[in-house]
Amino acid sequence: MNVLFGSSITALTRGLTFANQRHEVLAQNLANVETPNYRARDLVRDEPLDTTSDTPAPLPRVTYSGDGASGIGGNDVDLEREMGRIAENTLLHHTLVQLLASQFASLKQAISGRV
Amino acid sequence: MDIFRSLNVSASGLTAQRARMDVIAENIANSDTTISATGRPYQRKSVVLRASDSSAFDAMLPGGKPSAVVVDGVRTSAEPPRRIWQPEHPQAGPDGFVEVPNVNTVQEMTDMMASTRAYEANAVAFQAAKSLGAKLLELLR
Amino acid sequence: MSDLRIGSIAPAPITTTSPAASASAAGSAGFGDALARALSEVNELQLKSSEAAVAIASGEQVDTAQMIVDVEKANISLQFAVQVRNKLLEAYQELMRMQV
Repeated sequence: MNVLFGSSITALTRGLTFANQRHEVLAQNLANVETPNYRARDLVRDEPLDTTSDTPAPLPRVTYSGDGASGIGGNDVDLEREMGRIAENTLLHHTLVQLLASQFASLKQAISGRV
Repeated sequence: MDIFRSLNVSASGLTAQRARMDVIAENIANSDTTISATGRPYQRKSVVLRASDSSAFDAMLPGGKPSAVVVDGVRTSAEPPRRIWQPEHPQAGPDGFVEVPNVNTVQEMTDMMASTRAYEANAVAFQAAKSLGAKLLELLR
Repeated sequence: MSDLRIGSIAPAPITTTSPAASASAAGSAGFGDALARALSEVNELQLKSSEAAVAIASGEQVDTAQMIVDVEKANISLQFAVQVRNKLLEAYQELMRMQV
């Protein structure tokens, strides 16, 4: 049945996994916005998305994303920047879900013969 | 579930900021308390916060429940209380100085605003995580 | 594996691995293999889907997105298999009705 599901579904799913994980990292930044000596971090993918279904996706990397310029107490979390990143990530996530939904809907339509 | 983890992380942020706001409110309320339960002037309190994970993927260890920020407790300032010259005050010492709490009300109000903003930001992150989960579930409808 | 045309599901176009469809015996063996393989894949997807449900219910750390996609894939592939079965059945019945 894997002929039914093309590489685009794999790519979209991996993108969603990444978006979920990135949200967790960004949420940690916000939770620690007042924690002394906490440095902001972000999740990045080193390589472009590999859509071959067999190879497992490489783990994304956690990097320090702050500008290092210390805020109060060694904390470099910029609240507005993190909120912007969360908004961007959420939008990406919703887009991926919509695309996946339409792929699945097309498959179901084709299978059932009803349009 | 990674969405659940995000919810826990944001919830810990909300908890931490609530604790901070409670302590700030206590400071402000007691900014004039020259005699507290200890017999000495009220000493300013502050919340000690600590980040509990060093990397997002620490939480992938089995049984790990990431909270992201932990309230390590409330610390009472050990600074000596402020002394102001007010000889007519009932608690004035023989030298005319009164010991008053080391609470700077303006500082406390600023901290309160920062804490409120942080609380709201964590609430937004919490809602965002919820929406991510709900959106994924829509796929199964 | 050549693309499966997702248009209307007709009885014929299940692709077989044996390129020569000329000899009917060879053709039917290839078709049987393909069918068996397809069914086992459907089964695998169903198993993955149940594993996903168990993992979520038992609170393990899971990749939510991957799991939900696995569940949906299992549903779709099952629907597909059922439709294929129905069409095959229709084709068989039609054959049986033919006056010889």
